[in-house]
Amino acid sequence: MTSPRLEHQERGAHAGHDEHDGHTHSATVTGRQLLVRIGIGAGIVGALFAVRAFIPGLGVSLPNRMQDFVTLSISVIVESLPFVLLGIVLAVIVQVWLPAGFFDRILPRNPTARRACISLIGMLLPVCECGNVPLARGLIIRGFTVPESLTFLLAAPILNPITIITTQQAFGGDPIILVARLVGGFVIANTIGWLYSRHPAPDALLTPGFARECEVAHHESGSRTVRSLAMFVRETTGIMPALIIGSLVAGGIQTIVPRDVLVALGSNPVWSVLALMALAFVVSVCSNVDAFFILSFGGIFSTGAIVSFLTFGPMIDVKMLALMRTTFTTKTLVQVSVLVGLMSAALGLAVNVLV
Amino acid sequence: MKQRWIGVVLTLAACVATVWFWANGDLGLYVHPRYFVFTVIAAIVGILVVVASFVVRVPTDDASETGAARRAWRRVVSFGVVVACVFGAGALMLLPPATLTSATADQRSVNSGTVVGSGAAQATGDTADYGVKEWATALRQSTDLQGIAGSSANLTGFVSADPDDPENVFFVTRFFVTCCAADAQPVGVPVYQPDWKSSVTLDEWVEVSGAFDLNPSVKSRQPMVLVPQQVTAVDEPSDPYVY
Repeated sequence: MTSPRLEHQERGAHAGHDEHDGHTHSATVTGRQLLVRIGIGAGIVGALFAVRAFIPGLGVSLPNRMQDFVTLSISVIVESLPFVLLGIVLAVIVQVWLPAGFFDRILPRNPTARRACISLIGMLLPVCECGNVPLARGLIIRGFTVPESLTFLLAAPILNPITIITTQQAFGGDPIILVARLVGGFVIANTIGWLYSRHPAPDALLTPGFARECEVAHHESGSRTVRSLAMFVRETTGIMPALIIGSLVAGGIQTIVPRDVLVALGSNPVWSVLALMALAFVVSVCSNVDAFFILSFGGIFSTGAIVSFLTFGPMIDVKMLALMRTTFTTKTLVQVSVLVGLMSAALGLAVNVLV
Repeated sequence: MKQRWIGVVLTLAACVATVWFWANGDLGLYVHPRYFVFTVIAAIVGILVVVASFVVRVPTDDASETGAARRAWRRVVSFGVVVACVFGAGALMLLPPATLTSATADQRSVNSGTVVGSGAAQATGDTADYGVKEWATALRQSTDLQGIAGSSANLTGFVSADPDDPENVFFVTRFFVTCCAADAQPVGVPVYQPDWKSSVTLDEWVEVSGAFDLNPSVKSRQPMVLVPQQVTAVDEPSDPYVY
């Protein structure tokens, strides 16, 4: 098991070097090579545009269900793509451009207070839920512990200004929803963080692939620009397949599961909570707009069910699980999903009892 | 080296497809117009960064280097990942853009959500500009259905069948989108036309003009229907969804 790791370190140490020519060029290739490579890149982009522009002329026609599966999946991909790219860019900035020890200087020492502050980072870096995955990966590489990054990952989609504004716009007349969402998100994220801080070996929560990537990232050399681009490519390789798979699964489930089954459970104080959590899990709609989405179902659902939808959905859904699987082991994700699910349900039921 | 290409290729496919959808006016089939600017800028930046990344050589984190330790099911998972990525990229790059169809309208049950939060625009006002969404809301929320009877409407949408009486009643349907097509909810106005399948087909875009009346159908659960004077086939509009 040690030889691949050594090899990685060795390769990492040569990160900035051009191995291709067998020379030890410096990280910045010569002017001519640079032009050639940019040319190749531009050529590939041009070719892709040409493919995209001419192939549909063939006029493929799919059966309705298949067509809708494709449309829904593409819709989730296109909607999430900018947030994922933004998340990766922020992860690169955090990893490569922030001075070492930056977070240690500004965050409190006490672990609980530290996690509480971390759960508010989303207020400063408002990326929505899918963008938070690459950002959380960047934070782990930067030295956050695994429980801290989990706290961030779960809290940031809810505790961020865009989500707060849209929730306020959608449910301004019902302040309990906004308050319950924010407080619930904060408490759930910090509880999960606290639970996993008791874990004897938190690094075992990470997938081997991501652990290796942390290794590579720590041994990289070269100029900041080169390291940034290298990290961008590595992160897209990790995240994009997960985004595609998550979108396909979300699209597939939506094509198969009839929605009126969920809606029919309606206003029952218990069932509606579970139904809306199931809906949140399936729809995988972005946390920045989920308030408008659920508002459009009007008065069908109980207040508690809406609160559960608005806390569970941003933390756990089909697309998020696929994205988080790039970083955390399946076992961890199952545990986290169950815990978040139970706490969201409890919150929703409590709201239904009290209101 | 091969791993590097997965992320680069998928990012390029998604970004190129996004820009191309936008250039052709098809981006609205997938996301709400308020995200156009953000989405397209992000896609263009994505393309530029990927092209720039061709300049550097990226040290690969090739998971297959630990191949000996991998179990068989892991290989199956990896194979599944590759198949899904090829399918996803293929769908993005090769398939013609399309709207959601009546299959999703049926599956999500037309008018199952009370789509518009603003019940302010009630049927008491000027109904001349009412579209499918406004009429669907009015029919659902109005307590005075008799007051709606006799009102005339001219609506454009695609055809989906009323599940309770698919022979005689169809919906002039639109999808209402809050964010992207994934959250689209079908809204529709029921049209009473016995044996409509002989003149219009499922999923066809039609313009229906007529007046509302009590529903003569005994099986349908829709209290009010549009009784058409004219149903004409039209082209799919450039913005098929309503917001």
